[in-house]
Amino acid sequence: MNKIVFFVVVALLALLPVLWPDPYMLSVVSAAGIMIVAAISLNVLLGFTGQLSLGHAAFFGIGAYTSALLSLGFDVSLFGYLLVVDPKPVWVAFVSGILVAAAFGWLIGKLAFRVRGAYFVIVTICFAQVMRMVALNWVDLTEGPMALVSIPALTLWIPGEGVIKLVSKSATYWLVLAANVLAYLIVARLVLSRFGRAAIALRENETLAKSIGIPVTRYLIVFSVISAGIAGAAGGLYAHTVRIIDPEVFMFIYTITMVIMVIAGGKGTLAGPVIGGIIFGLLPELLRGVVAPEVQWMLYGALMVLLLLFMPKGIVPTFNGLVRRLRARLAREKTAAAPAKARGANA
Amino acid sequence: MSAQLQPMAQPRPGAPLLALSGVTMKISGLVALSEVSLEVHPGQIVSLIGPNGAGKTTAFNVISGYMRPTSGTVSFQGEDITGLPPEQIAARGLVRSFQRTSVFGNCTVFENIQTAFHMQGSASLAASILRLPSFRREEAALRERTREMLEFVGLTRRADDLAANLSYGDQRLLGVGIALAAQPRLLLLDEPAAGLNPSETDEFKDMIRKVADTGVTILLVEHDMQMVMSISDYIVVLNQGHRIADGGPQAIQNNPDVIRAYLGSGLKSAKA
Ligand SMILES: Nc1ncnc2c1ncn2[C@@H]1O[C@H](COP(=O)(O)OP(=O)(O)OP(=O)(O)O)[C@@H](O)[C@H]1O
Ligand SMILES: [Mg+2]
Repeated sequence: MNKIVFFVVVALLALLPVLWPDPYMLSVVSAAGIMIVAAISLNVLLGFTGQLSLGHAAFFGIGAYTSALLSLGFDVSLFGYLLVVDPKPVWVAFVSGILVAAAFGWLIGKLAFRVRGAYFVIVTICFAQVMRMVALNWVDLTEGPMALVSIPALTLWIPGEGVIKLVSKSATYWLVLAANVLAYLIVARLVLSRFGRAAIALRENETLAKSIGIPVTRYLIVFSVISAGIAGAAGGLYAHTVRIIDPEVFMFIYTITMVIMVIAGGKGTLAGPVIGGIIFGLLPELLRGVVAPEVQWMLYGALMVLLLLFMPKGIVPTFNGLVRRLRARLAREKTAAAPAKARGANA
Repeated sequence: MSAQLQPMAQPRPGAPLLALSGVTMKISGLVALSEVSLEVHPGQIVSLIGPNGAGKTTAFNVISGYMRPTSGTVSFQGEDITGLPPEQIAARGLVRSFQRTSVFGNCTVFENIQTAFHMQGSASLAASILRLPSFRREEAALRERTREMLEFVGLTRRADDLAANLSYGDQRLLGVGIALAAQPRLLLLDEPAAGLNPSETDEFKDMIRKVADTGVTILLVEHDMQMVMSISDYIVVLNQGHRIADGGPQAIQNNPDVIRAYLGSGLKSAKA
């Protein structure tokens, strides 16, 4: 049932560029789509282990920079030696971006999971700030505020046509859609497994989780690595589709955008970051030109406050709760109706 | 007073499953446990009793790794486990339940038990994400065992309810189910019958017997003397952090130190 819904939704989304081939619309949706992948990655940590990372843009940025630099090639002098790296195939660069981001996820997990809660939040914020400083000031490597430009696009081998560059608006859209489907499936399968149960146990009751033999720190690190890896993939996707990156990718506002998407949609649910991401990813574009930017931000704030007032758990859990209650009522009406009918037959 | 100076009475010959020797636990200056030694032998139901604040829960925290004793050692199956983290102690087959109800509130009852079978699973991350046959087999087996456990603790009808929405008594049952799913050799139960009505308490007692019959050794903290006296093979009494007595139910009920410190008027109801 759920599988069918999922398949139909993905198929419909895949048809969008055919049904409505508007380049502006496609690029807006693609940009939102990249942020949705990032939101999915944040949800892995925030939603399932309960740890709030306020430096998640760092993993996004690390993925973006690693992938961009490796695909462009670079030379940098380190301790008096000149390190020259030739341009790598773009997919090799992209996968390396994921791996490097995941490695930083491991490091942060190791460092920060000795401390939980507020300390973890602070460690992650600092981490993102440090990364931004590195990107800004290590001009030799990153070009600093001048940005990395002419980043090559991702490629695809199509039988009969050979290797094509994924540069058209529709190609970018499909690429982002594929990344979303993949990220969603990986997270769904992760969560619906012994690994996911261990992480949720940690979120729900760490003391109890330990008492039944769950080495919680190990699972925190696994989730941190996977979360950072997916964020790195989103960053790589950004680098190779926008094809220009600067240190702004590390900015706090991007992390906040991810957090808003996850919390509005419903943290700890699979669909939450997607629903929240669609709303808060497309809203800025829908409002652009209609209202001034200041008003836009006020509208966001108001929307967020309203959401949290009326749906404190987020859109998806509230909707699920409604469905459950409706079903329960239907079931009750059915059982209430049955004896009445039986009486009628006897009379 | 003299009881604590005497050598510990050997309840049974043979190697103990659990042994505390000279365990002292100071919590910010307060001596919660003082030179406590006790042994639990395999196959027994042993009760740890004493007035409020005697140090019973503290003893459980020390045994299960939630507190590191100030001095003394805890050994389980002949191995020194003092200072090991709780999850490693649980992995050795020493599992405790909690005095205050402790469940995974936002998960269903079914998920609570399924989660507690954690140590029975071994599927790798790759196998889980690729949904390999080995993963599917393991998950099916764990679901089956979860159903059996729900049947055992009598929560089958509640399987799809959120644990947070259960009644107090059902949450206590779920807590025991969670501990049992971790496959204990020694199960520590901290006031499992607190807040249960008399008929629920009786059912609970039957369940503990059933658990013991499957070969699980039990160390029980409980204030319900009727239950303690009827179910225990052996009893250890704590008062203000000291072990003041130990022996069979009969001996404990007649021990003047115990009567003075704890049983007092409660004794009549226990004998009735
Ligand atoms: N974490 C803690 N911090 C401070 N004091 C503590 C802590 N844990 C226990 N104590 C103190 O240690 C003493 C023993 O407490 P403990 O909880 O072990 O008693 P208990 O025998 O389990 O009592 P009860 O029957 O009320 O559960 C008490 O004086 C208590 O206040
Ligand atoms: Mg206690």
